[in-house]
Amino acid sequence: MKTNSHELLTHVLFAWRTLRALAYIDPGTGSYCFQMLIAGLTGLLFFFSSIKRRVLSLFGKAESSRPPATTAPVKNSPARKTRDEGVNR
Amino acid sequence: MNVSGASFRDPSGYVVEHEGQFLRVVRPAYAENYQSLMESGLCRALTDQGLLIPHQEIQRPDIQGAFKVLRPRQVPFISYPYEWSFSQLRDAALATLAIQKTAMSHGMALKDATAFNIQFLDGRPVLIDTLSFEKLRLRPWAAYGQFCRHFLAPLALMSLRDPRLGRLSRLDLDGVPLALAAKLLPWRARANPWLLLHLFLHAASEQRAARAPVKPVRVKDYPLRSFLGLIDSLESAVRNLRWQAPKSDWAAYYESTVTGGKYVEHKKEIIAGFLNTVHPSRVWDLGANTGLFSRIAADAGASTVSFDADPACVEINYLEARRAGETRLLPLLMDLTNPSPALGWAHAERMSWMQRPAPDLVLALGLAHHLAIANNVPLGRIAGLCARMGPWLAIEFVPKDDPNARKLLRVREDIFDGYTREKFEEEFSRRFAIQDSRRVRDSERQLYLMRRLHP
Repeated sequence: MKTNSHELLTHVLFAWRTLRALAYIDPGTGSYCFQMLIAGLTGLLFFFSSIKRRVLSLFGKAESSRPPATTAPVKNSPARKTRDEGVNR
Repeated sequence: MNVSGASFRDPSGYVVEHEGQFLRVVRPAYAENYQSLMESGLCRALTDQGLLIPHQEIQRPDIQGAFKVLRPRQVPFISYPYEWSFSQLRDAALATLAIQKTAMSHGMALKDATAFNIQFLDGRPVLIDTLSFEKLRLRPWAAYGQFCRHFLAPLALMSLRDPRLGRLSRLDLDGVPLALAAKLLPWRARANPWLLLHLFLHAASEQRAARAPVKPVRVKDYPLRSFLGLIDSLESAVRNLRWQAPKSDWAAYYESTVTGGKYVEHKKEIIAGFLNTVHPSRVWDLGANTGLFSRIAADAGASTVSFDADPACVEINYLEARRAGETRLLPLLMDLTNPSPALGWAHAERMSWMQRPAPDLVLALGLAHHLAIANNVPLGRIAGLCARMGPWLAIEFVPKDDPNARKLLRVREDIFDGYTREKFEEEFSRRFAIQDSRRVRDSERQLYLMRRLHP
């Protein structure tokens, strides 16, 4: 679709404003542009890693994305209920 | 009802404290994302994997303008990234990425990736901010820079430069600036392709953007495979970073420096007896080393925090807790002579050490002589600090003629005339009633169980 330069600018500004309004943390222009810049590379990495995953799954090996803490056997559980268990923030 | 001092940045909701319970209030602005979180099955998937804190929706008509009020499972002890060992931070990073991957498979994504959103619950890292999710949009990841500052940069510095650099997270609450990390890392770090990409080139891109004239950023669709590849490559970056804790003097303490074969076994017996008398729900073990005595408390049923100032000790302690699947033991890095202060906006975002929920019993074993002789802290001040912490105290007195105390005095003038057992008992008796006192076999050391006189 052909867009004249004025429309394009408005579109870009609007999209950028929308992005800013939705995100409560500033993604940082550098981090944002950098991801666009390396998008081809990370896309390629994903392509190869999905092939690797498929090959591994053929041999019955699946990569775990969970830190090892969860795979450990559970000791001294269940936890005794503490009197006034603390805080979440 | 008090609004938490740490809970004001995210317009999605806030945390309030009510009668010792922490509740999360969801604002109407977050309603759509909250419904997606619940209806997509993401919340269930993450809580089943132990990656997200479970919560219940409760009715609180007294809270005005709330879309929902959530009561999450309460965390017994809030800790911060600057108090974690290398593997604790690494596991928290991997948990964050695992959460992001699961979220993406449910059409959602993390909108932030701060290490302060992770807490250790039952020995495992979990996300405590239920409102951290938003619908997946094909845009670059808003939390990418934050993830690199909060996790990748301190992990790389700890792994490749020095484990003590984890404390840098205390200086900058939004993570270690990437340009600073790039300056501090050794040159060989550039040979790691993941660090080259996510730290060095990323830092350069940030600096370039900061210098560039302000102009609109071209917003294009970000392909999903690139997004997934970014998360995969961050995971590879984190997995490639390792740190092998050296056997420091402290880490090998029980094997090499404590004299007398029966000393440790007898001390364990006495501590078990003290625990049986007090029946504490919460224990703080100060100067816990690799957690030998913390484990007795945890095994006796107490939620136990094991503090030490040596990163190697905390790392060994955590790895052992993780290996054994210990759910009630939390090893943390804490220098008692300079403990974590209250930090952030109005000093209210991060609690100081003393602001955190108090223990019922404090263990201070093999500690007082280090504070008194190596750090010149008068005995009365040590007693004062212990009395501020909790109602019960199990403390060890190590006399000056003990081989380890003599080591502290080897090259310094003995200005510690007041460091005697009589003076120790006199100073502590001002604040505590001595309930029990026992000599530990094969040593001149004395163990006391004390009860605080006034709260």
